[in-house]
Amino acid sequence: MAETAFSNLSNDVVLNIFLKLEDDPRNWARLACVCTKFCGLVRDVCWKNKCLQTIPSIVSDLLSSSAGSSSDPPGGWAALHKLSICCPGLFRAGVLLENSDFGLERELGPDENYLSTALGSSRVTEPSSTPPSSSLDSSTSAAQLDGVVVKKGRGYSIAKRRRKSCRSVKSHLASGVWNLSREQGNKLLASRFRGDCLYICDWPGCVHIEEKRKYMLFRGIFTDFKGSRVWRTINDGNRSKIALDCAFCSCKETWDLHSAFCLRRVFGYHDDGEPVVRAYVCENGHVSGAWTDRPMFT
Amino acid sequence: MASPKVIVLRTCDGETFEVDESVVYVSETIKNMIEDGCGDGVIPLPNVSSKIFPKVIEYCKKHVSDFESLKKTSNGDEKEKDKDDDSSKKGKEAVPDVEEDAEEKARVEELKEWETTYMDIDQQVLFDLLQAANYLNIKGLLLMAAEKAASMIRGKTPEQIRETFNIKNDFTPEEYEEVRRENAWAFE
Repeated sequence: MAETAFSNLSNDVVLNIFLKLEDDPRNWARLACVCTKFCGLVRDVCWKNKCLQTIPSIVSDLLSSSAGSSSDPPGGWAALHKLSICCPGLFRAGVLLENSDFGLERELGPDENYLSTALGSSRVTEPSSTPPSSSLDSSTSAAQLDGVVVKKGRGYSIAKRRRKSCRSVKSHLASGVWNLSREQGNKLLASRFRGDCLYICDWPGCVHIEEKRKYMLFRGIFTDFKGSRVWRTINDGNRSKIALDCAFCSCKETWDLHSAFCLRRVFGYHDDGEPVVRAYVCENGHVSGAWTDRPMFT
Repeated sequence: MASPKVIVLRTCDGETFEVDESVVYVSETIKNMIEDGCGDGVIPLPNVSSKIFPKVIEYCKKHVSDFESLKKTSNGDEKEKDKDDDSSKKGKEAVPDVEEDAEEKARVEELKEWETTYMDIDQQVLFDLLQAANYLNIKGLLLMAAEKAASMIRGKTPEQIRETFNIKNDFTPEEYEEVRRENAWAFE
């Protein structure tokens, strides 16, 4: 096969072409999958410049606080860019985790009674050793998501029988304005953590109207996560991670901020035990979560 | 002014071309070289082939008039300033504006048609043109060619993009799985 002329183009010419495709974020994401050269250019130049353009203050906070004066934010530019425009999806916002034993599971341990009642679906997950994310790659069709089975401490439990659209479960372009603010982050955290710098997307985030209730999925980032009080609390308290991978970077596990008591207590629970707000943070400080409407009578 | 000066240029494969100065001035690179005093001798273009150079010159010739009319406008502005001081502009400009608008529209239309014909080229020529426009610093040509290339990418899947441009997928299977997973949201 003759060598392609495209591979001979200099980087600045290729970037000129890529710049013409800036209007639709999906263009660059698809280009990143073409070959390693394009992937490098999209990550290191296109997405970086886009972040500098759209969220300059967050970028400067991230870079000034990063240890070792790294020129890249924790988790990389790809993750930061994705976080600025993508909804984590119901799965990685933790909505599909069974909630009846929310917060208590780690103390009580697994319940073997449930092990044999797993669905025939090929999407049954193994105990925490295998991250659930591997079952939801881009090739998964809607038909295979009849039930998402996730271990949640006490045992296997089937979160939803009803078929969900693939799109709402996985990451997708968020609805609403693509903006992150610290003010919104402060509304989430318990008061003693307000000194931490957490940026969250504007209210209401990406709205998902589900059978049970409406979920307002949000994403965000701590700009100095390893220097934050949330981190110290998680670390000192030796909180264990859950096998829910980050929606934005390659972290395979995250911490549950609700059960670590980092979120405002006033939010409380619904009658069925589901928390009004939930949030998960990864080692790089990326946050995925979901608001629900507060129950009328708390 | 004296009769238009002719500039001699030599492409990387040794061919020489004689082109009016006003035409080559469309290239910022050549313009700078001439202003630096290289205009009297032969200007070497090591990164441009004799194959693509005529195509570039064709663009430059078409767009010399842009530069000329820009010069005229800047001269015209100075005259306008004097007028402002005494009489109101309204009455004097109403009629010429309509005529100018129609003329402008026709010009833009004609230019679009010319560009469509000009850009009806195969991939190899397109890439050579992109490289030449980049080296010679001809912004309008670079943007036009970049848009053409972008139009061949827009809306396509990675597989289709590879096929269009005959690009090899050089990811390892693990790398590819990861990049596809990271970007799955773009494949709705």
